Amino acid sequence: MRIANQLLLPLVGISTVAAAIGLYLGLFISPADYQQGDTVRIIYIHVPAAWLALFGYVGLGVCGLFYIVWRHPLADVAARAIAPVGAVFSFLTLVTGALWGKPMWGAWWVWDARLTSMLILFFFYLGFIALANGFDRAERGSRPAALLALVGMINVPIVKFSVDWWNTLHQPASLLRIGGPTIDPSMLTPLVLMLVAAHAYFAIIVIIRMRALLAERRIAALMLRPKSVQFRSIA
Amino acid sequence: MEPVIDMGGFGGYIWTSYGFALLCLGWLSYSSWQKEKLAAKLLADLQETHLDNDS
Repeated sequence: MRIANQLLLPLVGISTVAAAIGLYLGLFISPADYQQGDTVRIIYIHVPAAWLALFGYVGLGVCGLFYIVWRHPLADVAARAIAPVGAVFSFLTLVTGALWGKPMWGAWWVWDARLTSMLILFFFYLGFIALANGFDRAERGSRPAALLALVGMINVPIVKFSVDWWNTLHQPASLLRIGGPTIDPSMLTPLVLMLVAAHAYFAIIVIIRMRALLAERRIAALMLRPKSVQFRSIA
Repeated sequence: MEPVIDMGGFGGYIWTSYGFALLCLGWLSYSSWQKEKLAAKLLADLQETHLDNDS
């Protein structure tokens, strides 16, 4: 955590600068798409949110694995810190996707493979949060929540490759694909900047939430301390 | 200024997306910061109480 704390300030700087430049280029400088017009500008918020929703879930799954196999307490803390952030990003992906879909597809929502798998990802996040916090003692929820995080990992490649495996309304991958990105540099530059900003922001919030959770655990330990002192004095 | 707001007739969708993102991320930042601040304060108070009791 010491390294994470030292990284906090540089991450704030990176996130702020990258977001400022990325938003300026994306909203005011980059051209409108020849087919989608100005609605393409939603990409600069929709794609980073979707990446972070997926990236966050991979982090959740890795933490779940570390917790189940090695019972590492920091893995549980990290997973609990990641889950609400990932849930917000997946919700943001769904809402911005709907706001992009309505003018382009004529519908706010379609039961398309990409959209549906992203909705399932959002439910996995909610399930994790509910399981992790659904017990009177926090640590009792850690194992079932970690198991759910691992089970949900099945959905990650489904989200990523849904546009290749099924015939969907959603456009295919244009950034992470064999043969390189298909986006013009005038749009790619603000998109990459927004991706950098979003990743840095994600890390900042996760570090802050981890610090809060660690402090809460120390509080819980301190609250138990007088009893143990009393027990020792009786013994 | 008007073309920026209008965004080729899609301004409502685009600015709502960015506004919603700002709202979500702003809430997430504030709630996380508050959570940490409260926990840190409670921990400091408790540690002080324990130090007083120990001495």
